Amino acid sequence: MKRRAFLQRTVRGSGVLFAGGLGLLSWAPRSVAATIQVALGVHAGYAPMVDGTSAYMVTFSGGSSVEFPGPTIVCREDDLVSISIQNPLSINAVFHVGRTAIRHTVGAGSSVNFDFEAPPAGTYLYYDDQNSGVNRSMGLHGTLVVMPAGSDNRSFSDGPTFVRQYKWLLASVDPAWGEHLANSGVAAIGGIDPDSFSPRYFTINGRSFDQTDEPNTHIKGLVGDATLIRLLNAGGMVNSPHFHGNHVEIVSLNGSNSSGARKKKDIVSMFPLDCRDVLLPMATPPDAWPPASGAQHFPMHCHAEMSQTAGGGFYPHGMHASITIGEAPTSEPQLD
Amino acid sequence: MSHGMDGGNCPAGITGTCGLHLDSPATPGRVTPDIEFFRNTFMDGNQVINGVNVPIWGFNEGGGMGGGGMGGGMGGGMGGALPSSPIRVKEGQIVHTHLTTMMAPHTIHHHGIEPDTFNDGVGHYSFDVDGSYTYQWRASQAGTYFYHCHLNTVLHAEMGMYGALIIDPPGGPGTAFTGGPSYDVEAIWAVDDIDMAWHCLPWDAALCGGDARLNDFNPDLFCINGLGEDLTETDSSVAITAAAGESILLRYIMAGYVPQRVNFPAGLGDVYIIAEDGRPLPQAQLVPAGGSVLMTPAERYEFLIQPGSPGTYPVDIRFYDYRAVSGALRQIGGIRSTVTVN
Repeated sequence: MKRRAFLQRTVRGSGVLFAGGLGLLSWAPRSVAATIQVALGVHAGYAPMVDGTSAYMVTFSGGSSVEFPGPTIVCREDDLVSISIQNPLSINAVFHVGRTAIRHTVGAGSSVNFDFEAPPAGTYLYYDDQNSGVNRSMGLHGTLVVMPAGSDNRSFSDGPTFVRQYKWLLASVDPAWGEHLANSGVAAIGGIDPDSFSPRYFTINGRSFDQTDEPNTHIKGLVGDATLIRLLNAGGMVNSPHFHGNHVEIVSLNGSNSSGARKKKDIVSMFPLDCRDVLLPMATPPDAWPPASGAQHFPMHCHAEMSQTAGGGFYPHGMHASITIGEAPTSEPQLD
Repeated sequence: MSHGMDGGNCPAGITGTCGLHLDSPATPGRVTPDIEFFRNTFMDGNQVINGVNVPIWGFNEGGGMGGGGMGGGMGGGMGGALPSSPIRVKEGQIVHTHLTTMMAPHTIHHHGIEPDTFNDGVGHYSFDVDGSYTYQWRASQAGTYFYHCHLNTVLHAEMGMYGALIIDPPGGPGTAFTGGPSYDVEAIWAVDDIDMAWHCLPWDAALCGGDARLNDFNPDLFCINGLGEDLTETDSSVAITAAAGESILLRYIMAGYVPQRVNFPAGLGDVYIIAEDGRPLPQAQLVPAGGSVLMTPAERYEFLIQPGSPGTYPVDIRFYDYRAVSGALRQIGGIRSTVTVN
């Protein structure tokens, strides 16, 4: 990620602010750790789906209405993360960082402030872990990225270098669950049977198919621009992202880092709560004949093909994003 | 998107082609291939799977002679068989796959093969074949792949439009890949799940929107190479037979839509994963005796099995609902085959 892009991101303000006079860059190499201040709210309301309908969701937000998914928090591994959460809803909310003991409850109609030391460098899902996954699947989730100290082109200290990095947060939405809350009140969330989940919308960074054609989700790079992709599954189904164009290397699997020779896959299994970092080499497609020239366009889509639909059909308006090999992005990705 | 998601050219007379880009172009940079395959589509097939008459679609070999399955396809009725005939080539070869579509547009995506955009078989990035097209690509890496239609894929792959694709090293079968282990016995399993509620839909079901319930998959029939549980333990196209001391290469193609777990019985001894998704692993990965491997859709695994003791060993495959909000996987079915060691 380019330094300027990151400045733009923080100025734009997606709920993440940086205090202490340490500069606006949260993880670019700096000599001292910082305190990262994040203000979140818990909100319920309708979010637009790709077919023009909307689904009632409950989310963390950096603003005053639903934000699906919640804002991305970026810090460095020795930073202190200081979070305040306001919860105007009539249900308790929980902020839990997966694979850690970080877990704080925000009572109904109240607020809370807490700090935590950044966990080891890596990709984390933060989410509400109540009701056996129902709250998370309703939209209460977001991404925490912890960069290693002293590096802006690796995801852990001896990991492979990358030219730019993206985050793909996968989710699946059951609008019937949302309608139940819209009609009965959010307190009804505790009565939802997790096994009744029947998702009808499937998203990457809250977007489906052609909606993903934006700088944070459509992956682009020149040939040889090794690209780190942080995949997270916040949804309620087992996904199976399939990469066309290039195999990817598995860099990290739920916090377990691969420093040596890495497994190459065209499918990256994503069970609920999984966080897997992969490296896309951005190589010329190896099986092209004659050898490919010019920009090449490929999909990445989930191969649990139900996820390629919206509202029961409308293929391929689901969990699908594009990869362009041989063309630099006009705007750098911001991890949002 | 800039590369053409604009709804495209829907010719008069064919309805419901929303988002498709129907074409029948010449192959750019066409050269004389080292090996070629002919595939015609059929959409009028029937296959009896575990006593159930399943409507199927697929690819048969040019001339309409019907597919042979992956050495199986025993239940194939009129039209062709599920799965479609395998494509098998050697590393380094330039391949032509000639597709001729019948009754509706289709494509061939060679899954795990990475050609240029034009030959990748994804209509939204290139074109959907209405007529014929010759896909041209060069096999760069020995391994286990498959091919399938990539048009309304959610439906077309479920209907059976897939087949195995194997790349042997330059020396041919007998060695998994250059520098890799050799094997005496080879088995190819494509393991699939079928929801009969999806098998009476038109080719363009809900392609323009609308609810065909293609988000809701509840398989009630399971098969290996198109054979149901009534045959998979005994039919020689699936069940494996080897002599003690021989090495078995099991090429496992996860052709379904819900998670699968393959359970190896302890009597088979240690099993090694030597490759995944058509790429050798940096180091063979041990599945300890009695262990299992959990897979997600469209993965491929190459298992090396070296059984020491004679006997008949069941290999159980379990299927789980893809919906797992709590994280717990709920089993919804299973199928079994065997390895017999003489």
